[in-house]
Amino acid sequence: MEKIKDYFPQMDIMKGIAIFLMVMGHVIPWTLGEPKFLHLNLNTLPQNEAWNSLVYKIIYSFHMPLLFFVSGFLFFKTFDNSKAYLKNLVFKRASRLLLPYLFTGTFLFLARGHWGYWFLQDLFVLNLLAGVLQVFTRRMGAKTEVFIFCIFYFVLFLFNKVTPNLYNLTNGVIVFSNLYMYYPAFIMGVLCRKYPKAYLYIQKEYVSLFALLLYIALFVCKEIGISGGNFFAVLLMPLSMIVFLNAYSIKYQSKCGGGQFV
Amino acid sequence: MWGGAIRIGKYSLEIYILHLFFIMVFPIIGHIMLRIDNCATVVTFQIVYSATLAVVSIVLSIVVADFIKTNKILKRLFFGQ
Repeated sequence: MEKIKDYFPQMDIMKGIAIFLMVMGHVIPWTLGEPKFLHLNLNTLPQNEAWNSLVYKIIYSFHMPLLFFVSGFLFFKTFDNSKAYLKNLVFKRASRLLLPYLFTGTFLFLARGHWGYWFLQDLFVLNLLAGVLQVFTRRMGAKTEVFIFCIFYFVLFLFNKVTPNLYNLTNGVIVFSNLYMYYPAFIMGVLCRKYPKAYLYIQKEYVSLFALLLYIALFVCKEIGISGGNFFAVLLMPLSMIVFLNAYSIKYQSKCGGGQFV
Repeated sequence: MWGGAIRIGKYSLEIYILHLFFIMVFPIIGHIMLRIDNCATVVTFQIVYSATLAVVSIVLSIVVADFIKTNKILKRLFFGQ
């Protein structure tokens, strides 16, 4: 019974969408020969390059944060003893994420000559960070908790600004200077599981519609190069699309008789 | 379609790890894409083309993942399970 109660089908749907988009998002640049124009704003490109980078840009604006959101949602668990919780967390996560990261990373390096699977490394670090924050904030109110999570976002943001070349310097082995891009989605997942009322709120139709409109507006602002738009786009575009896709996934499940999931 | 998404979601780690080995690259298609100057045509073409290759890559990843999982040690090393 417990297993049925803890199963969230919408999370599998979102994981499925994200993974499918990830594979599509690898096919497009590899077919085009990984051109630099994919990383430039649309307003700076000739027309055919702009059209060719549109699908890539939409996919890359939210697909990996979507995976981190699901991971954060499934990560959250209540705990009794903080020391035992952290010890257990480190061991379990290392076994589940670091072992495949090191083994398959080495395998890929031997087969293709480059390191890979940065998601596993980022997810491991985020699991530890969220675990420590969960212990640290366990007696605090929701608002203080969110405030502390926000402070850590800026710490990670500054860490990225201080170590922008960490990925290149380590030949792709250490990637977590990019954590600030995925931390908000992961923490949003944790908070949605922890606070069911907030999770129910973001499932409302008008909230999801607003989220979709916000995503479109931010995408346009980013691509036409509005000053300061990039920071808010990187932060809010993935979150708004996650809110929309989450509501859509639950709606689909409800139509098929899936019922409530909180 | 969404049933497929659930199935893919259940294999997300396996697909993430293995799909890199099964993506086929056809540079000639890339040259054709770059010559198209119409937004609707190029977007539709990219979606259909990349989705088709993604399906092939995902199916192959799931088949190989199921095979790897028959060995306990490989299952642990590849997927941490």
